[in-house]
Amino acid sequence: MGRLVFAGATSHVGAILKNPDAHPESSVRLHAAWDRMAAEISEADPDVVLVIATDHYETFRLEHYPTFCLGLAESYDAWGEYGNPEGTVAGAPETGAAILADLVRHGFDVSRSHEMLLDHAFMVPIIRLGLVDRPVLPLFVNCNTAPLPTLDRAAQLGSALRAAVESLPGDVSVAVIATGGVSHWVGLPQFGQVNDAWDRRFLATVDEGDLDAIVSLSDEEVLEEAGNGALEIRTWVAALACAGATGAETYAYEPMPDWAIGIGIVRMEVGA
Amino acid sequence: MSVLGLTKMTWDLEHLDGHVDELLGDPRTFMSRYDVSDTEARAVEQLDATALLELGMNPVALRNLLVLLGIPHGQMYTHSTSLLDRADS
Repeated sequence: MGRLVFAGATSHVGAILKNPDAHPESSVRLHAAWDRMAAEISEADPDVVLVIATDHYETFRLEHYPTFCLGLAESYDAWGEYGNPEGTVAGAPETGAAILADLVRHGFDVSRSHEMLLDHAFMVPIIRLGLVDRPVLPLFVNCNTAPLPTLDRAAQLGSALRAAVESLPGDVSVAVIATGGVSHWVGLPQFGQVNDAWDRRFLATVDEGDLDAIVSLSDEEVLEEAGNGALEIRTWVAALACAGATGAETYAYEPMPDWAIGIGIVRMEVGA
Repeated sequence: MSVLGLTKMTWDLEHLDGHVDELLGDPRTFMSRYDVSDTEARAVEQLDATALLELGMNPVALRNLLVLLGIPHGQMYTHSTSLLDRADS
């Protein structure tokens, strides 16, 4: 059977790579946390990295807009939008097909894509965490185009993913990385604001593994307090549920005004 | 309103060569290719983020549109530029 060998989450803003040394006293702590996470993923040595992220009107547009979509491609090109990373990463189509089949078999009707270009939501963490040479399995979650899947549904997805991973044939090892958040406002007048207090409360709740508290948040509250970019926490919820929601450790949190976002980096326990 | 038309136009501006120049050269002719209302076209000409947001454009797509047209993300709601100024220059 398959095994989940690592779980974590990180913000994904392009400035992480484009302007890495902003606020040096803060960014040095963030980079240390990413380096730590990268080393731990390397040590876990997963066969496949399941990356749960959103898209910013690059791959998915209103012509076709899924709620959840799993990539089944042999490889994935990056958009390289607005100076964000270009390149190509390997896929894991057989693992993806098996996970998709298991999800659907158990009532989770996730869409699939055999050609799914990746924007910075996927590529920044893939590059920053040293994952470019590992097969990736991208899972898109709608985090910005209403109606969004509920946080509870994201948690259900995470649990279903864990079951699907453990149903994989052979001895496939999987890491799950969620990307997005924490507080930031995209394309709104509040752009540039960061809600340090909200972010720290959210991360403390993640560290406690208190999935019930997180899914009780309303989107209206998240939007008001932490911005539309914080709606991306549904990817974190999915990863936390996938990991078993037994706890986590925030490796770093920094409000980064020059990046217009609060950056969180969290390692999640892999529980039963 | 035709959120779809604005969103499709934004994606084309980003990914299809020459489209930004065509829009800047003759905004109305360029926008006539898309299902964009007169009100929306006027808002695009004025690079009016407030109006486009009120018309229902998704803020992520709206950010893409204005950045493509030269307005920094942080100045979307404070700038005083319009496409017509550029077309005249």
